[in-house]
Amino acid sequence: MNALLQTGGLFWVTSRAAGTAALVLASLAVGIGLLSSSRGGGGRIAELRPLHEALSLATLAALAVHGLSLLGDQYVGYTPVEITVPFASSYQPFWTGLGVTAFWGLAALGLAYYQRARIGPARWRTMHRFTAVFWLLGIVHALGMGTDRGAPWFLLMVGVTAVPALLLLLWRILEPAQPPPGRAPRRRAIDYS
Amino acid sequence: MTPEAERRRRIALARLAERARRISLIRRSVVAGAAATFVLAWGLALGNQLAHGTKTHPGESTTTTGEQDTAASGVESESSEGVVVPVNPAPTTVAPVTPAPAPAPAPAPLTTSQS
Repeated sequence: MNALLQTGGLFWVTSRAAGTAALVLASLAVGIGLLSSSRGGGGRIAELRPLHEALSLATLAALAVHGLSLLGDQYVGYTPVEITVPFASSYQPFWTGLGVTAFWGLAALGLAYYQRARIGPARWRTMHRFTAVFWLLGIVHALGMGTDRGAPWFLLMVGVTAVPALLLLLWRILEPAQPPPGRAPRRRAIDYS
Repeated sequence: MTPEAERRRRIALARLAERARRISLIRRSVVAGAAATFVLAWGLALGNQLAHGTKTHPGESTTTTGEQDTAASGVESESSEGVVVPVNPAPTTVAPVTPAPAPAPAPAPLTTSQS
C-alpha cells in the first residue's frame, strides 16, 4: 500500500474505477434514453427522462474524475494537454485519443440539452442521436487500453449494462422509422372542393 | 377565482410537487448508485492491484522482482518496495545445451555413522 502511495498508484486505481463507473453509467444512460424515446417506453417517459438526465450528468462527472486523476499518477505521467487534446498523448496515442474524443463528444452532446431552445428541438434531436457513437468510442477505448479489460468483474459490470443498451440501439436502428413519441402523426388537410 | 378553478389549481400544484419529489428521489438514487459503483470498482481495482503486486499497465504484463526469472523480456516490473525497475531482456537466442555426462556412482561409505 505504501508503494501505491509513493508512486501515485492510488490515482491510477481511482482513474480506473472512475472509468469503469463512467462506462456503466453511460451504458445505463444510453439504454434508458433509448427506452424513453421508444414506443415501448411511451407510458413511462415522464419518469425515464429525469433518470436519463441524471445518469448522463453522473457519467460526465465520472469522466472528469477519470481524466483528472490521471494527472496525479507518476507512472505514465500524463500532462493536461495529453488528457484534453485527442491523439496528443505520447502513451498509446490512438486508444487515449479515442477516449478523449469520446469524452468531448459526450460532454458536448450531453450539455447541448440545456441549449435546446437555442439549437432548435429538431436539430438537437438529430445531434443527440450521435451520442451513441461517442459512447461506443468509449467502450472501444476501454477494451483497447483499459487495465482491467480482462478482469471478470470489469467485463461483468460493463457487459450487464452495455449489452442491453447495444441491443436497444440495434433495435432502434433496425426498426422502421416512426414519428417522435408523444406527438400524433400530422395529417395533411384534404381539399374536397 | 371560482371554487372549481381553485380546486384545479390545487390539484395541479400537488401534481407538480409530487413530480418534483419524484425527480429529486431519482437524482439522489442515481448519485448514490454512481458513488456505489465507483467505490465497488475502486475496491476491485485496488484488490486486483495488490493481489498481482503490479502497477498494471494496459497491454503489458508486469511482475514483481521475485518473478523476474519467468518474466517476458523487456517488460517493467515493480519491486517489493514499489519501485518500478526494468526487467533485463531475456536472451532471444538459446545456446544449444549439451547433455551433461551421468555422474559416476558415489563410492560406498566406509562408515555407517551419520554425523
